[in-house]
Amino acid sequence: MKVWQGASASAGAYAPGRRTLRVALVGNSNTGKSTLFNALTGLRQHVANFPGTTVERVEGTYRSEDGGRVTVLDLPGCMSLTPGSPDEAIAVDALTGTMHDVGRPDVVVVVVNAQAPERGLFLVTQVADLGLPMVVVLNQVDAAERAGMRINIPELIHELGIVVIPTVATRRTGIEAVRRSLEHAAELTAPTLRWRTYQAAGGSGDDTAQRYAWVHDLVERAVTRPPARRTWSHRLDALVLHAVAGPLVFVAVMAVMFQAIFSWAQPVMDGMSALVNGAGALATRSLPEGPLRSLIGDGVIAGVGNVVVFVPQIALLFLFIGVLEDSGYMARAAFLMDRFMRRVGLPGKAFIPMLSGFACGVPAIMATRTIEDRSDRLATIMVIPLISCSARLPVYTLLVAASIPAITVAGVFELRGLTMLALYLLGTIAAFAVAALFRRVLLRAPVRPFLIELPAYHVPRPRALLISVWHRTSEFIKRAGTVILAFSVVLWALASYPRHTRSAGEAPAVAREQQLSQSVLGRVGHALEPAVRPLGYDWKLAISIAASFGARETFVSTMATLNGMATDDNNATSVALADRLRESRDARTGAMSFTPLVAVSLMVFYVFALMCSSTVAVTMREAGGGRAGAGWAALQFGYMLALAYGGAWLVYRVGQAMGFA
Amino acid sequence: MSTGLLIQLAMVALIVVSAAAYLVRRAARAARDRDAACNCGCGTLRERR
Repeated sequence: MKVWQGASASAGAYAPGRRTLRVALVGNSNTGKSTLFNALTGLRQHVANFPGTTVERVEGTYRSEDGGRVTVLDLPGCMSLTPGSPDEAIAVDALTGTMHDVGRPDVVVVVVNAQAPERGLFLVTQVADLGLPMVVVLNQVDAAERAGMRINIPELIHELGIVVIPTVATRRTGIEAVRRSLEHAAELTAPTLRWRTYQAAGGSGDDTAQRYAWVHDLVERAVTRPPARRTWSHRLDALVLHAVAGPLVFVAVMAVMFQAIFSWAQPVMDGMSALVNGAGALATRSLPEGPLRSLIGDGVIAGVGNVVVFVPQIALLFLFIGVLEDSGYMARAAFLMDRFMRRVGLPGKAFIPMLSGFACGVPAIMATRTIEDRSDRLATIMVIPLISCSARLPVYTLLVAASIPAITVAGVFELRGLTMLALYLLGTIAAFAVAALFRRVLLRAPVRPFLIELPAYHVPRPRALLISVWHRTSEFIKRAGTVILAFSVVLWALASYPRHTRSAGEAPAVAREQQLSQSVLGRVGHALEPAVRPLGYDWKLAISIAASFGARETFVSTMATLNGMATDDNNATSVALADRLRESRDARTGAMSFTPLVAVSLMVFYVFALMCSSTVAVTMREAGGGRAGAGWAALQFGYMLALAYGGAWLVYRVGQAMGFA
Repeated sequence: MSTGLLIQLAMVALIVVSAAAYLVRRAARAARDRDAACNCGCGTLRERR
């Protein structure tokens, strides 16, 4: 039992304009802490409608009206102050002042979901024991009202002895009141919960039971609920959580998503291709013949342009993921998958990190912090990079466009869209299979029961959606303008020098091929070729694969630079690049070098291979750091490379045996 | 070799060396501070102070 500390030592230490007021936001998962954080600080922290969106502490600062600095700490959601998982431990450490670089907060804001106040108020009783000044924010009061609930706020204030502020953080309602109460933090005293009196009067049961009993009584008095009725949320759940219909809905949602990504983005992508084309033509026209023109045309515009044309697709993928997150469907999908997940030996909780792996493996691996058990968590971390992330999208699109005919199947589905879906499914199925293997060999432990709060459905808020799409897409663009740009320039130089002197009578095409072959890059490619020859790849593919081990998208820019330089017009665009790949031939033998079989084998390679230095780094850290972390990261990289090579080899050999050249 | 070509070569050399230096610097930074390693397009790990 914690000792009641009376008024906090830090209460009253804050004087406006003189020092920074430190505010910590805590609350159960999915109560809207990050939305409140964004509303208070004006920042744009990622928010979503499922538990476990925030797994790290995030800090933001604003100036109060009287000029004082207020630092707000957004903490991961927690059910109680007895930490169960690494993300909950962060919240507890931050509140108790045991976190090494964060001081104890001056004020704690406990965010309580107005629709389910019991659990939030339980946390309130525990935070009150810390003796820090508190403010209770009753969020989502609009949803509670719509559900017919009536909350007697004066009664809550009276019983808790704490300021209680009703808010709708998504619409910024009540935010000013929260700010004002924080500005008067000096006047806030530590709470005088009536629960103490209750306890002193001999409430029965252990500590947790006593707290719950008190909270239950309080809610009985302060909250009026309408008689239970079936809401549209319940009716929708009856369909999407149905044993048979549920999985069908899930597959349909995924199929629509991939169809849309492939077909809806096309017009915008064509427009961007035209822009890239125009830029290439402009460079060719306005620059004199020479190395600079080649650098700009073949290096910069071909390399960066061919990556930038994928921005509409990437944005659409993020939009879909955003809608799934914000509508509340993501949590349902996790619930739906639990039975299946159990069979492969993963906890149901692992499904949400895995789903967010479709956007990017790095935050997905971070999101495994919501998983309490270490074996469960490690098994999930190990397989997340098998889920196809957004960086694979440009590679898939290019390979699919270069090898799969644009025909319609069953009158509705485009074969190219279906191929994309198949690639995503292949990665997902492999992730489950490998997880099952890990759980049976290296990480044996019983699977725990899965509890997840199903948040109420709501229509995704355009603002939150736009923020998340913009954040993620702008990062992709920034990357194209920095790393990919620098990379393309260096690659161009390696492919252009040393110069090949064209002999008399040598055809221009042969001379260009000779130039590439004799360049530094060509020599490296020829040296690497034996390693990929069994997969049917030539030296250009060897270079492109080697180059993409730092980051996958460089495959596209490398192919664009190499193939742009091997032909005479340097206006390579993504669509043209696909055509160019399809028609590329071996300069010596004249044989097709990029057959559909090679393309499919490459697709399989890219589904399985771990080609992302950021993922390796985050696995090292999240798997425990130090030698253990490095060991897990090496194992992850190694098994994925073996799977990629083996899978690509198998596809190529079986394809050959079946008569595909 | 004409002056125009020399100027072009000098500019190309400058651009290539700068690009290579940028990549080396970036890799060194990522190796030093793993927290900043996220360059995946998600923006999750970006510092938001």
